[in-house]
Amino acid sequence: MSRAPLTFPMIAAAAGISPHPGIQVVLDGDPAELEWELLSENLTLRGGLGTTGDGVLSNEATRMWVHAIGTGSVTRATDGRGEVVSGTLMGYIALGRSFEDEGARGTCSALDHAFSLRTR
Amino acid sequence: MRGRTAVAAALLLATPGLIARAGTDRGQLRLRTSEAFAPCLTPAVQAFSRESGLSVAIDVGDLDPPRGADVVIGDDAEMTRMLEGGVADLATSFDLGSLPWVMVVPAGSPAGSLSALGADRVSVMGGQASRAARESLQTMPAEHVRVSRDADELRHARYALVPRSLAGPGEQRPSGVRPLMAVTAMITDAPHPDGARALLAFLRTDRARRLLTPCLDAPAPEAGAKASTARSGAAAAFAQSVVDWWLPECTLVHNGYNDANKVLSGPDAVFLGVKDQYTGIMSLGQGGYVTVDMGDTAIDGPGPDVRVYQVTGIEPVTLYAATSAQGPFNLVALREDCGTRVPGAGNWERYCDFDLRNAGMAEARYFKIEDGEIYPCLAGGTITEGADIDAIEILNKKP
Repeated sequence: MSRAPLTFPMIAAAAGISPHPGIQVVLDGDPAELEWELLSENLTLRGGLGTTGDGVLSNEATRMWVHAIGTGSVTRATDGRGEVVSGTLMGYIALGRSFEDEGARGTCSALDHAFSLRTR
Repeated sequence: MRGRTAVAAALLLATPGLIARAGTDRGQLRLRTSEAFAPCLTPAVQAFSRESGLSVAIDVGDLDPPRGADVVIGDDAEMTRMLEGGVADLATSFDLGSLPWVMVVPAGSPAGSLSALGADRVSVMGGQASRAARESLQTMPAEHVRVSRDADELRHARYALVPRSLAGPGEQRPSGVRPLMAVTAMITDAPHPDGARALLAFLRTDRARRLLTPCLDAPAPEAGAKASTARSGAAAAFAQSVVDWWLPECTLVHNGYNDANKVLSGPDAVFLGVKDQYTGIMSLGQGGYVTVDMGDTAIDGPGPDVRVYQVTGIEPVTLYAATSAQGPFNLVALREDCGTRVPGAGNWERYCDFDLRNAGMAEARYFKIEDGEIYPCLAGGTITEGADIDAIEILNKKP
């Protein structure tokens, strides 16, 4: 499976404070296509990133299907906002071209997928 | 899934005197199934047509949306969201039988995995039901794996990983992939509800089972399944208290079963016969979790050590274990399909087993159960999104 990074335009917002504070990070323009629900404590984000059965098209025109738990430390970006420069995702990722079947370009379940959440 | 991935076809059942073209007869019953099961169904459906006088068309492709079907037959993985979301009627669902995945290789090939055999191209069935099969090939270069929904193409592949019903003429060898389980149910707003009920009633008969069994293995309790302590008469050990829990805000708003205390004590979930109506469960939503104190200590003993009870489908569960409430919590298993049937408990009560050995732990008292389905909350259509936890049980308890 290709190891080239895939990128997605996302929007983040605070989401709840009880029983733990949360953050919701969703795809800009179609929030239900790629949604990340994160618990946010002690400058660490942790939570589930998921797509529906349709997957989600990346900026690179590769379609991705994901069901994984991500963890990363929040640091301050140059503009003062928070970002995760280097995080890990454990779970399922499958790739395909825009109109291909799930996994046509590879499937990988692993504990050490990598991600970053950067400001834009 | 979108039409993009659907390879749809209609098999016309040409029973003498009952010839009807798919899609043109308003009175015709429609059965929708996936590629793997279609070859298994024809004899039983033809017999039903002969005996009932009702013609049946078998449509092949993705099950959801059902596209006018009256009855669907699919693997657990394909049926879970349909049953939970009420597209198919959970109260009518039952198992028809299992279908093993097989490796197909040229006759006389040496022993070994498909990747070890050096196949330049391995064909694997695509679709929702094939995730585990594709994952089993993930060590192979992606360009050597051909994902296909075309039954003819799969049957002609020299090397393939397919359900037995789609195996070609090569040598068939066992694979380690979880067998498919054919589950049937009536579509909730079936165009022909009376005919759908008649077909399901027929499929429950011994005669239908005999017609299915050359292709499907009879449904049976899991071989070697470890008995619940509650059923074996030993002192049962179920979760005693909740240490921590978290559900995303979106889940708290949309789900209906957010009470963490519902996972305590023995399995007591009840499906009330209506979509989304249960008692005794906590739905974990998108990646939510509950951490419990078992009161007792689980040890790494013979077989699995911990059992999680989950309702409806095979929604995956991730389990972590710790010896203290503050952790650290070690990963026991990631996104384990939680769909083993509980004998005698209806087709919706399921469980999955875990072994502490996988976490390198000799014992544990605290367990964190996390949703492994990880389906977008904003796309959810039920109040039971995520794995639905009924109970947690120690199978190997420290004396």
